[in-house]
Amino acid sequence: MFEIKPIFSALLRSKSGPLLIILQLALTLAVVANAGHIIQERLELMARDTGIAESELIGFTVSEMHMDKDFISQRRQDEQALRAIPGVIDASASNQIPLTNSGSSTTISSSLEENGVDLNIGYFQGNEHLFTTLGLTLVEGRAFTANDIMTDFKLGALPTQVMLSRYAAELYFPGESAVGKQVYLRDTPIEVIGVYDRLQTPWAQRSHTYASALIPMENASFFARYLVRAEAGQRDAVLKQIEQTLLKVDPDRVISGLRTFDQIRERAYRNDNAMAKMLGVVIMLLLVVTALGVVGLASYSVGQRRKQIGTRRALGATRTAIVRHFLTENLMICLAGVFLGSLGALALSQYLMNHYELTRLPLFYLWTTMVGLVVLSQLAAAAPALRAARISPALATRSV
Amino acid sequence: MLAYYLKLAWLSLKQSPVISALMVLAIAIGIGTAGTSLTVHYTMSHNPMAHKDDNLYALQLKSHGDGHDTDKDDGLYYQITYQDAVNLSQQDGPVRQSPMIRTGFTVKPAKADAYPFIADGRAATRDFFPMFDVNFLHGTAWSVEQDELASPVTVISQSLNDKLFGGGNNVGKTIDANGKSYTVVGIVEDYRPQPLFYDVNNGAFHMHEEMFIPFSLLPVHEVEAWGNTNGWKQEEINSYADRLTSEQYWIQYWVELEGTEHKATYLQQLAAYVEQQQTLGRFPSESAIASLRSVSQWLEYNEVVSEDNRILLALSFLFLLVCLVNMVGLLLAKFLRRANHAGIRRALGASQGQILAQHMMEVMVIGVLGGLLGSLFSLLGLAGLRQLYPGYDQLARMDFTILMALITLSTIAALLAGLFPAWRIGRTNPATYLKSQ
Repeated sequence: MFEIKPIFSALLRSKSGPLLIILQLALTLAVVANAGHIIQERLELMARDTGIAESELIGFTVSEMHMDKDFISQRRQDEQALRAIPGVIDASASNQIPLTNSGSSTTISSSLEENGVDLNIGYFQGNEHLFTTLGLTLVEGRAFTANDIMTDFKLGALPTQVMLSRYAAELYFPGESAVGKQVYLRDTPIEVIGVYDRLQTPWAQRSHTYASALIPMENASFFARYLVRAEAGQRDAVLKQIEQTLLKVDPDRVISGLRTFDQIRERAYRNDNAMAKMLGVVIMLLLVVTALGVVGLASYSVGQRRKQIGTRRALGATRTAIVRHFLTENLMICLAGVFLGSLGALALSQYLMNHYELTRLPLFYLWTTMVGLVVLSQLAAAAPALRAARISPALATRSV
Repeated sequence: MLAYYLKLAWLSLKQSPVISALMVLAIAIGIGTAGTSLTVHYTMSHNPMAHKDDNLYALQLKSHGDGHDTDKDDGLYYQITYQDAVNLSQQDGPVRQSPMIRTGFTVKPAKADAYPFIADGRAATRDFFPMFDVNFLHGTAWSVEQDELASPVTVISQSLNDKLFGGGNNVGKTIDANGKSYTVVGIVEDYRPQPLFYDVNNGAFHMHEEMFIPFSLLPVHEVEAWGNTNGWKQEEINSYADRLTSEQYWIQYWVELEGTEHKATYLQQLAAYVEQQQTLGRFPSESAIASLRSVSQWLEYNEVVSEDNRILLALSFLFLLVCLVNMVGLLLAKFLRRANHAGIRRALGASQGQILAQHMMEVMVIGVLGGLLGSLFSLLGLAGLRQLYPGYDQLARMDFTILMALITLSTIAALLAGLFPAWRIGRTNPATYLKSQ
């Protein structure tokens, strides 16, 4: 039915053309499967949830002008002014905002002993408004109240209470409740009073990005981040009033980086987004070039064999048989290509894993790309094959 | 002879326009992709101080104890402590040297109704300017005395000068920054080396600095560092003064030496310093060392070229390879279709070499055309990149060197691709084709 043997021996007679297509398909498979995997990883990274009320939040930075100001009372005045803007649910000053790539982290251990769990924790400073402004969900224990907030402290003072993310709590105290337990910042014990569901640190690309904590201390440095939570429909209107509102409280400072959280998210993943798009373009171009290559070589091989085709037709071969011949030939070439290519794809994946922070290529990508390439190459070979089928049997009688 | 081959090549290309166009297109797409990532890579890995690579060195000291994992393979941190910075800057040895930190200022314009704004800044010694080839438009760097006396003076950039004063020579005027008054002693051209090699603390492609102040002002004005601080030891730090005497790493240190011999001498001097500090009870590690890295080594060490860029570069060259394999196939098809021409020429006395040369010429024409079109595609690709990365304005620019490199690359690639088909056709046995005429 499929005349595999004669097609194979015909292939062996002119090896260079098919070999080139095999090589091209193999390289294409290796690149496309790996690029597809990288794209998927980036898309997953970009889709991660920060755990905060993203659609309602606005963030910005305030840099003060005079270093000797009472920053804490300034922050409270600012928060009050912000909360007075119509449409604002809550507002809070902190030291950092998720996904902004700038903030503070420190190593906190679950125990003073050697065998304790150490985690690099991104910590958010703020008063009792921070929890509601971020829109976090309490899992157990309680959130900070006004009484918990350390008001009079020196630079370098350590907190005595902390709220942990579920991620951190589960790593510190696997299988048990963290509430009421102690964690240690250097030698100082800190009591865990509550656990919230999720809050991402400023560093989206870092491992343990969900290892975060809230501490009941207000930001006393001349440089602070602010978060404003507005009713979703009011967010843009609120955004427009923020700068004027704060400069009215005190004009001697700079408000910068005023953005909705959607914009913050977009900036955070700009490189990943660009990488995904560029790889997407590479994949598309590669498929186009490969398809053109298949068309070119199949056309050539049809052209070379016009006479034989005519002869076969004259001897009674149907048009379908001719088409089948070329498609089978293409399929054989293509299978050799994807076989070689899957080895290449795994080798490339291994190389990327060794040299860069990439995970192993899941076989799913290999399979999908293989099937896709087979379909593409059959489609590309179809047009020349159909053209071959139209060759008239009379051709066989000419110029012999 | 060559001109004749060129003519033949052109005729042959015109004879089969579709397949020729496909080949030019294939190589152009390959060159376009490779060119785009190559341009970004070239700019990222550009060394703005290549001419001083034997002179400028970033200094590192291992003043921490063992058992601290740093990001770097050699276990060093990329900054040094304030006390080491001060100690070293009091020693002679280098031609020039400067401890430095990145900082920022809230600058208030003199006009009453204007709001303050942020200016990026740097605290360094006066050596910073000649060391890194910063050009002065007006005035000079502050003096040695001003460095020693921690004078509230500043050198500002042209852009800050324009913003504050509307341009012109404003040496002698004062600026209100972070609530303190600084006297302008010099105005420099905007200094924005790409990458910003001397401080890759927060990425190597951030904004250029607009206000420079003497490093000696740190303890006086309690200047905040706008960069990372790395601690390794339990220390109680409750004030700026605590920070200055701490073992925290937060100062960058650069030296200018006369060359590699001078570097060896200075390394000995640094080793002596390490020993001296050990007798004072610091530098607890037995493998405490000092390290000097040239600008090129520094860029490499800090992995200034992003991982994404390397991956893209590798993949785009694989892509170019696919385009070339594709081209070999198309060339083979094209050449063999015209094998009878070659057969006749051979029968008329052309040597195998001449047939080869004729076809290589044709391939070269395809390569050059592909290179030109490919450069155009690269320009499109770079324009696209600038859309994706607003920060890439400086980065994704093509210059003449890259353009020439792309056309050369394209031509060489095409010639390589053409080698096998042209050889095949040159080997043609004239008799085969004469028979069927």
